[in-house]
Amino acid sequence: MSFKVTFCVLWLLLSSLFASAANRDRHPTFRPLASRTTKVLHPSSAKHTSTPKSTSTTKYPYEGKDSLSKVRWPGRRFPVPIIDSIADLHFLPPGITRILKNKMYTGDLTPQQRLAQFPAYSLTANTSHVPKGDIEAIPHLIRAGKLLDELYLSQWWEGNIKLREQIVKTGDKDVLEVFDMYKGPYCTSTVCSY
Amino acid sequence: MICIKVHIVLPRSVRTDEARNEDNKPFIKDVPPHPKGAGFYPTDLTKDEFEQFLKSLSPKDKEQAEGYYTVIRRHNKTLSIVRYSTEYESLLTSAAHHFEKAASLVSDATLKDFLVSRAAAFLSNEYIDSDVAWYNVSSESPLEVTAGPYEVYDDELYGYKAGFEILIHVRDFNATEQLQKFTNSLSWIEERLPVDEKYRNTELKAPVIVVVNQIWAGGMGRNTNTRLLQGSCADCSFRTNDVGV
Repeated sequence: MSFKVTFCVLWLLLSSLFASAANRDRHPTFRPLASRTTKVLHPSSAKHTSTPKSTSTTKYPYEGKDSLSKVRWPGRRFPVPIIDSIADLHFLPPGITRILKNKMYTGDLTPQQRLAQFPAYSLTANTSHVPKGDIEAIPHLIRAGKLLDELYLSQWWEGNIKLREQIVKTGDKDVLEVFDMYKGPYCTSTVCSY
Repeated sequence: MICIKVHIVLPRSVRTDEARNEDNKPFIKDVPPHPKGAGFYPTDLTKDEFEQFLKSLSPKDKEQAEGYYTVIRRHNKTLSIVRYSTEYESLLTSAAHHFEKAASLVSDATLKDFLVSRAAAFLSNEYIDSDVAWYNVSSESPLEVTAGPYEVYDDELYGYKAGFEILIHVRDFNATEQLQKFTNSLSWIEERLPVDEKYRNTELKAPVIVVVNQIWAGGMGRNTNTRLLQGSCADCSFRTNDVGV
């Protein structure tokens, strides 16, 4: 038992160190773990580092097949997990599998933290004054609404539809929910500034 | 009593400078920066190229290229103007179909007019008539629907192209009546403002204040400023099972 625990801890530490050494230059979102600790515990005090720079020749993962679920590290035989936030360490036993997965999100907040900014409430409304026909019309209007949502996705960014399909494939429901909330991979000013 | 359940998401955080810094920052890895022309223009389009293209067009085509309801596409290195009704044909045809079905069910004749004319506009790309029909929707209608290409803020390149949005509301007549006292008291307040009489507005028109329950806010409507006022709902998802969607 103790051997397993020691092995796990050692493996995690070593692999994150290797990851840092191997990807310090390539992975712009990388920051040393120590500086990240305060950032995640107190998101309001987060200092914004430079955003990932992209060049016109870069092949983005959504352009390839299944590439979102497997981030390849050049020059390494095995994919190395990156511990990007302290949130990954809070729930270590169930979290181990999560750490092993290569995450597709980036930025100062995890999708869970982004969702946590918007607590959910259920409201009801008295619609007794609404005639039956109008109530029956609502599902048709909502179906049209869903189609216009899809239309808007491609208006906002041409890669949206393809990227959404990729997210659905990975099965990460939190990322998908944030994506649908933002209507794309970009945190827009109105949504973000509330 | 029939109740429509709405699952809404209310923002907890307030406007902060840090939040503003997140503007259009990708939260997914390896996504390129957001193009200023959104999905309305080719990503690699430069202003010079577009202006050259505009010069080569007839006045009528130029008007289309700069219009609200067209996108610019590149085929074989040449730019072309594509109308929304062509670019998004399959989605708009289905949406029009659902609007016509809804129009056959709603009780208010003016709302019916709007839905039918908007469905036709989706296919014809001519939106003016249905915009007029929207203005004429009666205040008695229990439903309130706003749908179509309206705002141009997403086109940060030129501000020409309109993004689609849809808002579906159920009007709350009781609450609207309660707010009527504010509408009525507006001229009373104006008459008593501590300014010289010549500065007072004698032809004050009271704005219409309508309270609604928002059950859908889609497309660009996610950005609507009315979200907080209405107690919902840029990021809400309708519990679609409740109405059998």
